[in-house]
Amino acid sequence: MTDNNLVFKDQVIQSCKDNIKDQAVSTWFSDKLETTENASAFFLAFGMINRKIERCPIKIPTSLLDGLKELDGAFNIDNWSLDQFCRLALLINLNPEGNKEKIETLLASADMREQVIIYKSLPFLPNPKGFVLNAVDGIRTNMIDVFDAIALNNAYPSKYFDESAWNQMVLKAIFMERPIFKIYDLDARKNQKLATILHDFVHERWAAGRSVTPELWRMTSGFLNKQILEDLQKVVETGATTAKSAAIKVLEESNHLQATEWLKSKNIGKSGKSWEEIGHEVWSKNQI
Amino acid sequence: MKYIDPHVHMTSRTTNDYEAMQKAGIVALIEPAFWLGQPRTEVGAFKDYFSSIVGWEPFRSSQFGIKHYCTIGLNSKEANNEALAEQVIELLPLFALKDNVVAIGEIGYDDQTKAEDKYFRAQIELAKEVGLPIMIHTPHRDKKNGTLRSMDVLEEHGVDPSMAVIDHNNEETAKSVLDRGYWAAFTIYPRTKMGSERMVEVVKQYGSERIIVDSSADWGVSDPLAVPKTANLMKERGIAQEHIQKTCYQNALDAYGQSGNMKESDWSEGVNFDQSVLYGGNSVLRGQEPKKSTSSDIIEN
Repeated sequence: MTDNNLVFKDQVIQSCKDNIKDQAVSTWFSDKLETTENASAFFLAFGMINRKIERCPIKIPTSLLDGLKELDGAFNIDNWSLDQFCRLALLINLNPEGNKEKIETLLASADMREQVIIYKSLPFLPNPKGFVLNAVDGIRTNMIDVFDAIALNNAYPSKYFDESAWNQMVLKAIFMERPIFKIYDLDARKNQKLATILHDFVHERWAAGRSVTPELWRMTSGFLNKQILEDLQKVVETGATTAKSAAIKVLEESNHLQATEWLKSKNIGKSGKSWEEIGHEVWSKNQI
Repeated sequence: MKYIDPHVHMTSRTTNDYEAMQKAGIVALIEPAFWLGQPRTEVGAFKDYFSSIVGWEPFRSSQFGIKHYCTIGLNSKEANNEALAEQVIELLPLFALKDNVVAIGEIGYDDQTKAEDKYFRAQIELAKEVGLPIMIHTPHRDKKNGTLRSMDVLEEHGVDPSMAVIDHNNEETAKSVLDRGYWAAFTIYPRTKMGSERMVEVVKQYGSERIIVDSSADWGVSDPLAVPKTANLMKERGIAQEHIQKTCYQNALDAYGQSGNMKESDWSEGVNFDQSVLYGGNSVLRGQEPKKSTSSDIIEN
């Protein structure tokens, strides 16, 4: 267990109590924290959160916010409600010696909301590394909320997934039409294999008369070859606005002589957009 | 007009049904835990079934803009395998508190055996403990006695009739169920339970107080549009709008809303399958169109 986790555990619990308005509920919550080493008491308390705790926004002190960001670079308190934060407290309160068995049992009988919170909590557990297989398995779901809880706004995959699990996650995000700009460390974990698979995917879609999300091109950035270059040129010349911006951006970023010269010869200026902006554009226009 | 189908086994239905239900105005439904047409022989099969009606099926339903709830329970038919039943009963507390669970059910009698009686009573106690309403399945055979006996047992355990829905009623059972203060549900299921014309007559006779219409559509030859169809027939045959609204929407909401888990606000703003972003105004992914299929020969690419 890291010291960080220990310090933040107490602060998370305190923040829950500070945010629960009803004194009786707050006492109930404190009592439950004392009993969670007993498996059935823990399952019952975890379930009862649903009934007892309001689904309202939560306020936490800056020191805790910074601490949680240290453990999960993607942490954003706006994505958490009070009931979720209380469930996080119950989960991180478990002793690491026995938390795997309890959390796995919980996952096997969890409703959608519970699955979401369990996966969102993984980076904050005292032994996060022990749950890699659970997270990789979680990615196999077709429930969008559950998939998003792992893949989007969560630093866990970037920290703990190996390359093949990471690639499967990004591919599945694209298949499920999820906004990949919300995947944490998306650029840091780009790789040749993913770029190649996605390039194949583009051709499969084009052959079927379908389009691909412009966000996809971001994963080819830095892995230009002759075919990808030609495809990007085609997108710049014939694609829709956002796709065009994405393709120009990849060509710009490539430091590839041929790409730079081609852009110059076509008198094409900078795309001027960040990948976040491109991502937002795709999803607000629902361009897929 | 909006409808609720408070008894329908969607696990056995296709996406075409979901789509048709959405088109017909169904905004919410309840999937009671029941048997799957063939008996289960392992407790794990129950666990996975319960997991699916608290997780996967609500997701499937949300894609069509329909809010999905369920009830959790060991059905009377499978209660007769006592060795298995014991293990299933132990599982129930793990599922009874889930987000979309609005009752313990459907429980009650099938053959009215000793084993059925034992697990019926155990589950009544569970419902009391967790503060959930109870959905009662009344038997196909010896229906009248089975119904009376179910109510006797509920009262023996001190259950307030307003917390129990007695389902699958007919003309013979309706009066005693209503007189004793229970919610009386009627299942419009071709040839075995009620037809919609008979349902119209029931409403003409008893009005709409505490009367609920459902389809119980499942893996058999049944109709997931039974509620909206019956509502249309009621209208056609001159029943006041108020009675239609109560029997095909409001009463189900009032009865199962007592769980605390079912609220009109769950669907009044539209049901969305992406609830991952709750706050912070980050709503770029909200408001997806319900999934649609097509009736032409051209299947969308």
